[in-house]
Amino acid sequence: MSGNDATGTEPTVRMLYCRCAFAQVVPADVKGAVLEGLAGSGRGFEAVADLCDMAARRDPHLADLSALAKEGTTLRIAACWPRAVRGLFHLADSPLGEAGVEILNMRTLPAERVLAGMLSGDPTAVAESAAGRDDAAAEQAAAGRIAALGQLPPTTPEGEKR
Amino acid sequence: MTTLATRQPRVVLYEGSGAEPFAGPERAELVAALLDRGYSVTLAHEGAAAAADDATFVVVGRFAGQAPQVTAAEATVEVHDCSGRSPAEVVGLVDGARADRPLNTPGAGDSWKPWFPVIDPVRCTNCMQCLSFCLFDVYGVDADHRLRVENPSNCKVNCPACSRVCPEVAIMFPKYHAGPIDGAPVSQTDVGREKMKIDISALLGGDLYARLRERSAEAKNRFSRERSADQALAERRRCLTKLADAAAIPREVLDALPSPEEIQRKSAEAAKRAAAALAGQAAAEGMGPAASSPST
Ligand code: SF4
Ligand code: SF4
Repeated sequence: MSGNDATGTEPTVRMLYCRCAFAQVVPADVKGAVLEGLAGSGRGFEAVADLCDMAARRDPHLADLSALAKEGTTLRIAACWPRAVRGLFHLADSPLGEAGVEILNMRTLPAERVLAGMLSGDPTAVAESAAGRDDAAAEQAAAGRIAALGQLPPTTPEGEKR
Repeated sequence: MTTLATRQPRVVLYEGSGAEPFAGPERAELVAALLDRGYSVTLAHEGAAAAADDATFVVVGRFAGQAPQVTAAEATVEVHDCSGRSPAEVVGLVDGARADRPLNTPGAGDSWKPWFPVIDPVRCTNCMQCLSFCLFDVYGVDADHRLRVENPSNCKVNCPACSRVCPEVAIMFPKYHAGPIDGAPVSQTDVGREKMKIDISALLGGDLYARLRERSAEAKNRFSRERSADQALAERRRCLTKLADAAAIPREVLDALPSPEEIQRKSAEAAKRAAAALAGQAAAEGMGPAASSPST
């Protein structure tokens, strides 16, 4: 299957929505509102229960999508972190090219920003998706994780205290 | 191990010529219900046949009794008129058309949670540390001796342990709750996480599995002395508590580890495969850049 006429989207854009149905990592209100926005737009799109599940199966449809993006179609994906989404396509032997792929992060962005990226191609929404919440906060959180681990006493496990 | 079917079944929701469109909220509700059941969905406005692929088994639409015939690549697709049906009724209709095609349904008792390591190919240096660490054959190598997630469904659900052994912070678990393991950008502090790996090693007094082997052996000795399976299990749980906390490994995973002998055998096997992959990489490099394609 190829081409965009099949789904009725504008000729050069293909939209893919991930429901992340097996985990709660994408806030329910965000993924619900994004789906409502896409469904209410009057445009065709594709939706998958769980892109992770699809990648684990090396679903050949991922290769179709990746090929379309390489042939000039803009592929817009509403899912989670762009690094993870690219890794999933790579795992499925269908790596995404740099050009023609716009990934919107429903883990961090509000629904209206995701929809601005999906429906209007807002480039700032795409950039925000990859950048994360707040670099300073991320650094602090990472430092906290490492410090917490370092504070664990280098002792024998409890079971040895007999 | 769960054996994964190649594809999840796909439903085409058709609203092109000859079909009446759904109202927006109703369309969203129907798509959500199908997705939450595990189906993939294509919303097609034109060309029901073109929208179908070989995973498509059913096309639904409000055809007012004028349902078109659709043939997908490999199978004749059923077409159903869903005029006047609620989203729940449409899901029931689709379930009936699916017949015995396998479906991984979120929340169902026998469903598989898609939890497995995902490699960031930009960061991975193919050092094979993860391959030699994993006891469950999740990792393998491709024809170019590069790391490959070979058997995702072998991974132990909610266990992100191998992400901690990667010196490049290249292993992600997209369904993990925090960054950078969930795929969030890797910060400079995270790259310095090599320290964390060393700290874990120090904490465990060697490598993780060596420590596990010791603990299991001790528990086993005690078991033979005490002849009490319950006590031995309780002891093993206590011993492993700190390991679980330190490496974020779920306790059920540690409890379910095989016997010390089996752990030893599997580690040796994994180390051998990693060594073979590294030797293959070195040989390919020796043959010049054409012999080994670059990571994408
Ligand atoms: S790709 Fe991201 S949003 Fe989609 S199922 Fe995987 S973790 Fe969830
Ligand atoms: S440990 Fe990390 S860098 Fe090394 S092969 Fe595995 S993913 Fe790649």
